[in-house]
Amino acid sequence: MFFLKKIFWIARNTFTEAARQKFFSFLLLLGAGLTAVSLSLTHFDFGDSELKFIADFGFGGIFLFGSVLAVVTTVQLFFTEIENRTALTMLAKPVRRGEFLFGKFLGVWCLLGVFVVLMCGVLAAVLALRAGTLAEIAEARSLPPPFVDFVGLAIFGVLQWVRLGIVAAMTIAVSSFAQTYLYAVVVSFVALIIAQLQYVFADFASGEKVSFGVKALTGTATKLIPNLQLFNTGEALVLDPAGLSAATIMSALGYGTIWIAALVFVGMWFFRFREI
Amino acid sequence: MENNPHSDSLLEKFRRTMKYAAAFAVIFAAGTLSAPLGDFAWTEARERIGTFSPKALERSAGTGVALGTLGGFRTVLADIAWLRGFHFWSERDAPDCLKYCELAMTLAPEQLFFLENTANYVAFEFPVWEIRKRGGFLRVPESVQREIQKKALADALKILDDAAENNPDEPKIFVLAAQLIAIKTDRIYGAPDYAKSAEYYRRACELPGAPWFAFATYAKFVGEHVPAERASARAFLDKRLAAAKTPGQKRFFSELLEEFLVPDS
Repeated sequence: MFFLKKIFWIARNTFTEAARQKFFSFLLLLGAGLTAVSLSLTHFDFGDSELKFIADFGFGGIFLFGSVLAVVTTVQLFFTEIENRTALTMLAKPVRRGEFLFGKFLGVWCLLGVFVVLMCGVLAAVLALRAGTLAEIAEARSLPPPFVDFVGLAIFGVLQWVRLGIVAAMTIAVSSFAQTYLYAVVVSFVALIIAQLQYVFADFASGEKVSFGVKALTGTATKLIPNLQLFNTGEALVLDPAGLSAATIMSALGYGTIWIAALVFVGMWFFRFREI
Repeated sequence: MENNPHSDSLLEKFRRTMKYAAAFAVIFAAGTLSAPLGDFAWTEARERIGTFSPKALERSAGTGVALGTLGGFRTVLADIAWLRGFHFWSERDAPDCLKYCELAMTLAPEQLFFLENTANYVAFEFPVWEIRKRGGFLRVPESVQREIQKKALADALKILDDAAENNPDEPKIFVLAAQLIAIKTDRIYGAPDYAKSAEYYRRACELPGAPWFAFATYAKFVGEHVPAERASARAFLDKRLAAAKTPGQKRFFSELLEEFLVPDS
């Protein structure tokens, strides 16, 4: 069990280091500020419910700023260790390369967890505030109060944490063989974009007019890219009384876990061969 | 014994290839293993989140879609796109207006506000701008004006038909189409195309949540103007009467049948 201890210490150190960075605070403030400000921007909404408009700011903030945080922090922490030679010192001790990389990933993932919790907290506060006001108005007009599911928001938070975990794992895998900081950041963001559009490839692969060769190629490509849109279920979980079935939520979590495990494993595999 | 540098580099190449091949295999295995879970979750998630249809992706401004896809701020981006489209509307710039309206519809396909207004712009505003651009209503020949109006109606209907394909459970889209056909054909031909309008009303009435006026208008149009459709309409409304749950609903359907669809003696 000693190896778990080592991983824990590396993760803790990574988390502390990352949480102290101004970049984390900046993104957190930006995301939370944007969600809070959405209350005063509802005049720009056309046709949708106010709560949907506000929630959309929160969902967008969690994913956009969370993704930037996942990519940039992962790459920065990884390359700082390599460039400052602290990785070399650490790996000279009885720490395996795999343990080092896994610890790094866990540290970043914990930080992303804190980010998601805080962002969901702000979003819940803003939604509760506005839903309360709208409920009073609805009551005065004998209308049903607006629906907001805060348990659904908590589930959404967990799903986002897993989604950002996939992004961080993808970044770890890229960083493990990338030679420069810039290359790792750019490739990770491109991978993120492709993963967000994975379902478009899948649709294309299942099209009737597509030739067999193209179908096989795109079909294989979809197996190599996780579908990140799968976790984009905030509206259904938070604002729809029907919610989302438990089987779907569990499947999404299982899907995310498999991808995280595979991507971290690939990162560990490449890191074995890397010259430090 | 001396080392052969050639065989060393070959070995190195092989090792490097194997390294990437192993990583590829792991990712492919993960993709295959997670596919059943992913497909299961995606089936329900997709229905609920309203993803972009390939058609919508083809016709919309790519940047906006990419931003919407990546950022998550879809509602907000759709609103901004709509405001931009409205700016071009105020400048009577039909192509740019349509581009941004379509972008707004793509980003928020569930929002009927965008759909309704875009269809109205295309059906009612764009042909007027086009005729004015060609010299005005007094100079452009009647036949050309009619062609422009017909094309506008077809374009607007295409927008609604595409939307209906992506939202097959939304009766309001068919109602919108039915209303548009009735008003527009009245202006083009001097009389509404009751048969076509009734066809769309019927499609709306077949869906749950159809407004009551859709049933009433369908019965009236068919009863008064589309004799060939009367038997089918009568059978359809008879079924609705039989399925009616409240006395109010029963009275509503029986009154429609008595007023508009009395069998020929």
